[in-house]
Amino acid sequence: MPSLVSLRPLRHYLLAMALFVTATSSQANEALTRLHQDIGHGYTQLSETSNALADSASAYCRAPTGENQAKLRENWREAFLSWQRVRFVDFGPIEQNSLAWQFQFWPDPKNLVASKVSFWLHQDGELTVNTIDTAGVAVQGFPALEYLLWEPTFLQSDQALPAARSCDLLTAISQHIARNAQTVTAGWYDMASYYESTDDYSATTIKAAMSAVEVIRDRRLGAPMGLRGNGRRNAYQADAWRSGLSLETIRASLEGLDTLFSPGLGMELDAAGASEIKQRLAARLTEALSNFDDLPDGMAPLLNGDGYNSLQALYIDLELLEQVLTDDVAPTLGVIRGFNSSDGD
Amino acid sequence: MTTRRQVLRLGMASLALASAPMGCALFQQPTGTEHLLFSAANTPEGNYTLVGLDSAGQVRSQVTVGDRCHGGCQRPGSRQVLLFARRPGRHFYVIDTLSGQLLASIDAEPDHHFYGHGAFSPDGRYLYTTENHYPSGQGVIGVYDASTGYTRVRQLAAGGIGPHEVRMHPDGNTLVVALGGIQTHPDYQRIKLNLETMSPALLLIDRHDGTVLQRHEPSHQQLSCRHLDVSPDGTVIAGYQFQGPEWQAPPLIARLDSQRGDFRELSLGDGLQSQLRNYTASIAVHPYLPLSAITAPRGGKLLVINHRSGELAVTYDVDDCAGIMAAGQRGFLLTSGTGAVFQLPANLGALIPLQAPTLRWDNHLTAVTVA
Repeated sequence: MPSLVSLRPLRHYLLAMALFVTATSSQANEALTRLHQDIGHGYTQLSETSNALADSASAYCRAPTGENQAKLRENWREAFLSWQRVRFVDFGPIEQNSLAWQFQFWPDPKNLVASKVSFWLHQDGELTVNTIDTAGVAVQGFPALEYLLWEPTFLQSDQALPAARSCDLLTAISQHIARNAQTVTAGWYDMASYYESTDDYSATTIKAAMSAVEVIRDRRLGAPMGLRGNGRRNAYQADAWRSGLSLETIRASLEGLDTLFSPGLGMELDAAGASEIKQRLAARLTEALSNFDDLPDGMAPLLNGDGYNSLQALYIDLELLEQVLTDDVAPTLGVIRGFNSSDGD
Repeated sequence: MTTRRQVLRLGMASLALASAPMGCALFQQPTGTEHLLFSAANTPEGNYTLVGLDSAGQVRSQVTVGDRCHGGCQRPGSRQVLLFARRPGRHFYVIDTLSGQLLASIDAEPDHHFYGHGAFSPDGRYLYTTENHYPSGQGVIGVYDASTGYTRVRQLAAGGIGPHEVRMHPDGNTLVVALGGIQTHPDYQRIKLNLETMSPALLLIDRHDGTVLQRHEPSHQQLSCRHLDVSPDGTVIAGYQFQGPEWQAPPLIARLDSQRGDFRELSLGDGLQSQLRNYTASIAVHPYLPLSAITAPRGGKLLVINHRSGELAVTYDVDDCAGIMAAGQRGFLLTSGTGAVFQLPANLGALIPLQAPTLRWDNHLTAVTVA
């Protein structure tokens, strides 16, 4: 008789056993139902704000007034921040056709966003949403629009908005984003019963949140702070540096974890008899978010001035948040992140 | 978590296996050979290392390298084992299996990167590697002459995009290639650029002139054919990774009788199929037993099939298991990303833990036999 081998550390195994004893399946399902509902709200927001962005792009190109331009930028910001809130979800329909990369091609060390936008501006021929559908990830998402709306060299060129070709590109990309947002939202609701009835999604969702916090700490904040790689501080390693929203995007992502993930997770922790861990997580999220009360939207002004220590404080709070997830939440709920299962080939 | 149902199911499987005619086949192995295991691994500090273990789990060699590695192959008739940098890899490493020394690091051609696998001609002279010519996106088989320090002498077309694992067919003239079908480009990291149009296949390619002798396509266009192994009688077992929606659970294991061109996919039943989470990591076909082992780390499953009958023999639950290789009379050796090394005995009894260093064992084991 073959033996069944579990490589979980014993402590985790016992805690997981305890979970199965105390958590009834209906409680677990309620937690997944809540998570599905909350994430669904996040996608719905993304869908609505993306539609507003597409409408606003068309309105601006029809009547390129200062007022319409301000509204267009504001709608870009709202849609982009909606994406940041739900960006932690790395499974489900967002995985299809590299949709996450289509929404935001990042990081972009070779500045492909600039070269691909430039390429399409200098092509002749039709430029519609159908063109963008097959044009590649660097020109399909929010960063390409950000380039059209904020890149200083472009704004001073004779192709600057509202030039006809640039307007065609603007409306095509924003329609592509809106279309993708509808696809991912519909896909998310289509998988409701599958998500809610598949217990593995508890661990999958927690692992997604853990990865998201690590990406924020290490790559979205730590890398531009010079805490990784060559040690140099570099604002261009952050996301959304063109629009000056690098820190605001991090705030939105943490808000997303707070509102779209934390409530459902809390139900799971309650069911496992670990309400104290739920409270610890909520406190860490609140502390991390409170940093932004005194921070600007962008990161560049803080990297080389007195403000650097406020970035360090945020970094430390992200570290503490990550520790609660890794050291408390994951072992309590029996969540194990594999090496080959999470990054194989 | 072990459930009663799993225990019962496994019990049935092992009963069924007891009647399989495997006992006599066990003893065709040459005596006096030693089986070593080579694998890429990450140290607890996050360094990339290439490790050689004996079949008791003792470290025979260990070198630190600059990049994460993937698969490998032994050079026939020599003391050399090669390990390839992981996709998009820029190097492969040549190691002396006895001294454990790194003998050479060979760079990829300009505009090419490795996919992480290679295979030798039976005489040990020519090495065949799967590569991406990324300006065109086309897959190629690079041909290297080991007798001249691994100079790249020519290349063959790989029959499409994304060739991944390659093995030498027992006829000595044919390459068996798992064509993953997925287009990537180093500028875009590991983003899959063509999921809507991918066209995976299992291929037999003449190593002398590049002719595609057989092409077998998976039952779904998004089943990326990624890994494989071949038995001495030409039975190929291939493993897929599904790129489509996670709420679907298509077959992930294919069996090709290459003599007859008979290609089939194995059905595991809905329950087990969906537990594999649409992902297989490694395949090992045993050369003397009718058994093949398949790892599925996302589902935490090790599967053993009878590759003659195409039937499932047994499954084991092993978290994050990936590396697997045949090890003669000792059955198979298995590693996991959580640090475990096991022997899977030929009688398919309980897994036997080996005392080996706790490393994050990577995707593949490379079998090395020493006379």
